[in-house]
Amino acid sequence: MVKVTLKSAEGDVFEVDEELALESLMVKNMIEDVGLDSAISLPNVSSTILAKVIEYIKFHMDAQKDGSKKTSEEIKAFDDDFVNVGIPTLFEMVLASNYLNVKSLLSLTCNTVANMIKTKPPAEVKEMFTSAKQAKA
Amino acid sequence: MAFLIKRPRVLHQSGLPEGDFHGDSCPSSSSTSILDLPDLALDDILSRLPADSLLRLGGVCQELRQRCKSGHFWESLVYEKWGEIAGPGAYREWCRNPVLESSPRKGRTAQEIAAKNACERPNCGWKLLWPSIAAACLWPLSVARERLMALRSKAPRPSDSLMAWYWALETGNLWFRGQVFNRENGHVGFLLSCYDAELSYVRSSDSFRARYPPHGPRALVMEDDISWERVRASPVQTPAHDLHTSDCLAELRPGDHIEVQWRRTKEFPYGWWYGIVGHSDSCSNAGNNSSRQHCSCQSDNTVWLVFNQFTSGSRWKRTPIDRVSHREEGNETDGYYGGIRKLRSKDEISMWERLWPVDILE
Repeated sequence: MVKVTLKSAEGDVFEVDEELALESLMVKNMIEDVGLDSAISLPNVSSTILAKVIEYIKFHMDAQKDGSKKTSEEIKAFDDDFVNVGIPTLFEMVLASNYLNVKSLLSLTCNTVANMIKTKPPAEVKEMFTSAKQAKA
Repeated sequence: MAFLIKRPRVLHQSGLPEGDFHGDSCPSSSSTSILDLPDLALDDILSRLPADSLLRLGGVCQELRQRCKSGHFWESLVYEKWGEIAGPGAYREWCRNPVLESSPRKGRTAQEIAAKNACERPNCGWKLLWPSIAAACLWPLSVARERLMALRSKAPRPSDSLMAWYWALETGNLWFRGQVFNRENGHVGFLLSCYDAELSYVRSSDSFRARYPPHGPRALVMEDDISWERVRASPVQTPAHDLHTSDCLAELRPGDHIEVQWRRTKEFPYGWWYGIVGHSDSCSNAGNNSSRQHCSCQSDNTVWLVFNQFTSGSRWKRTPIDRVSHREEGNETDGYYGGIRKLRSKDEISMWERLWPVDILE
């Protein structure tokens, strides 16, 4: 199977199946433009986040394959667990899925942020904004 | 933490949920905050929020306040919750005069003044919301064009008027024009009718209050606890005391579902009554109201309106109208039958069928 090399902001190299890489419309466009010979550089995505995005895409690709035994409950459990992260990481995942143009992940992460705003009491929402700020400051 | 400084609140004056995290400045752009997210992602998040959350989030800082006011988000919230109850007509009325307070002592709130100033628009998104309604019946093209010309010279519509409209309805401060099916809790004298009323929403019970215009000397009638299913936006622009111009007489044929204006005396407001078009007594299809088999009733000058909620012998069961010259027909004993509108959508017909009384009426 054809492999694609992705390079994170830190310069770490991730080798993935082409099929998986094409799930990112941004990567897909880059492959169409420059081909597969050189690594695709993703200066806006850290290694940690890129690893998570790859994990997400891989799980869902497997789950959609014929013969997959994953139930919708298992998929939901994976998604819930996947976004059960700190707010800074969550925001980074929103940014990355937007940049990489992975629609299902963007939708999942945005929905998670929206649910936080919806369900948390005002004081905690305020906290959510400050903690996101302070964590990176 | 500079952005946590309390600001004077504007929106809660008319009973809105209070934003509890108002601040002056937005989180700085050097950090990851919700505002650093790209527009597409931020809009995606905001578009998933219910009205309460969107309002509260607007209290975080000026930038979010501006974003959260955007008509883009409120248009779908308005449409989702109020679209079938408070139509474009009610919105226009509110824009002309947003102070329809439940308590007349209360002065205008800042929100209402803003709404009044804000709301000079025909280009307000309704055409996006309800293109067919706006174009077909509620807003004749000529009127729309006229208004557009008249209003173009004025200030452009601020984007927050839909938000103000949403909250004017939600808080129940606003009485708007709508219609109530089976008024007065299904009072036997009003079954399968729909009457104009001023409505206001009661948030605590998720229901409506209604004020019905007086029937002659009879005092104004109030009703509480009206469920959503019994309320609709007026499907026509005709006010309750005006005769509606029928535009379907020529095409009426047996089996059609109709609503007809009816009033007891000339001093009373009209209500809309549900019925179907039947056959004449001499027709071979008589008694079979839904038959589509060809008969002369389709071209007869006399159209029979049939009200099957009444027993066969009842004087309310059938009434003839003249296909060509009908405007208003009747007398002080049987009341007056006015304008007719043909029901063209299955939804409208099934609405009436849901309200069908258990027992047939005398």
